[in-house]
Amino acid sequence: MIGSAVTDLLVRVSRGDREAFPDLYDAVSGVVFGLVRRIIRDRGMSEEVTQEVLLEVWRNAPRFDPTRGSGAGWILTMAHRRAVDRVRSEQSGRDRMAQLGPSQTERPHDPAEESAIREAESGAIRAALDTLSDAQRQAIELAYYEGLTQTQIAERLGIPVGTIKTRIRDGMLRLRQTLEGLR
Amino acid sequence: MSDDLHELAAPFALDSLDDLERARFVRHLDQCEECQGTVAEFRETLVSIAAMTREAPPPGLKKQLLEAVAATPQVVDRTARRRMPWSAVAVAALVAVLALIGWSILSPGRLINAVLGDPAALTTLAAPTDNGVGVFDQVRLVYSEKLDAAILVFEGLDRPGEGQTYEIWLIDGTDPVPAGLFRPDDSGSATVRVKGDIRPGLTVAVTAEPEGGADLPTGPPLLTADIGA
Repeated sequence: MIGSAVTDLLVRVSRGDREAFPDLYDAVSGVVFGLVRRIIRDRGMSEEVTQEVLLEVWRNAPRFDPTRGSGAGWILTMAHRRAVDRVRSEQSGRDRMAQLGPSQTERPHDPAEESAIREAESGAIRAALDTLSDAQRQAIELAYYEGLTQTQIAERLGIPVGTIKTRIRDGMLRLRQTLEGLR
Repeated sequence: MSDDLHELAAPFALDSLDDLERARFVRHLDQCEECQGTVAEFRETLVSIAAMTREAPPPGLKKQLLEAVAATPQVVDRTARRRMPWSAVAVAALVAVLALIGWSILSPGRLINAVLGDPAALTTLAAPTDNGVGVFDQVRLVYSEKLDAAILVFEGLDRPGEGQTYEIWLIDGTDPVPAGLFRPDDSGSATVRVKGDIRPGLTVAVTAEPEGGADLPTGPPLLTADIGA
């Protein structure tokens, strides 16, 4: 599990300790790459974004404040934002291409590959996810792993945006409540 | 958008707000300790979920990254600077004076080149809003902490409408503040400095406004980008 060791390493890095950075890399690179890959899917682009994110971690580490959250939370927030930005800018590029003619820039999507990147799933967290209704889980997954805005989720599912907002909010509150006991 | 702002904490933590909602919530977050706590808790929740999916990056990535780290300075934390002892403050003041002297020598064009040439400058790709899709091909926001300056680089930008100009806005917790007017050249390129007090965490937006600019945006933003994001 990813935990206080990451925070300790990030605090060292935040003080300019270059020696701590390879250890921090070993501790978080698998989770960062796993998350980025799941959002972006394309391997090459995911590698590029992972590298950008981890370089940003190094650069911005002096701004990390351990009283406001864990090191892993800080790093994964940055990674998620970067990956979602990349997906959205690719998407808007594709939308414009689509106006011009048949799309030649499909986002690579290989179902076999996708299942291969899903590794060990912790039983406790799986159980917490299972406390969500299917509708809540679907809305949260579309937001977190597909990088969709609430409005886009509503459009994709053909459901009013207010319903999506409720599902996301209630689902996240429930997850937080269930997982609080695990940390 | 009549939601209670507090209720945007969950979609904010999921990066699931559109640019406008996000800018609104970020302004609120600055003032609301309760939401800061809620967002932090949601982020920790998401760490647990994200940690379920791991994939080892290719071995070459570590080497490349460590080389990049060796060549990259870290930012200076501004909140830490406030805690400095007096002797350090004196040195910092001297450095600031020297920086000001250097600053005044830099003409606008040279400042732009200096920012774009700063190896430590941070480049953010601006995200088009729904209104901005198709208006430009690419916009980069380049921020140099060393030079305390940010530059917007536009490619493939449409001309503004008849009698209109583009206006840059700096959004910092309160209302947007005008940060410069510009028009693209014939090829749709423009390289412009974002005027005003540039700090990481502020949001830059661009709208089309009547010739001469406006004090507050009248048109919808075409893009937003966070400085130093």
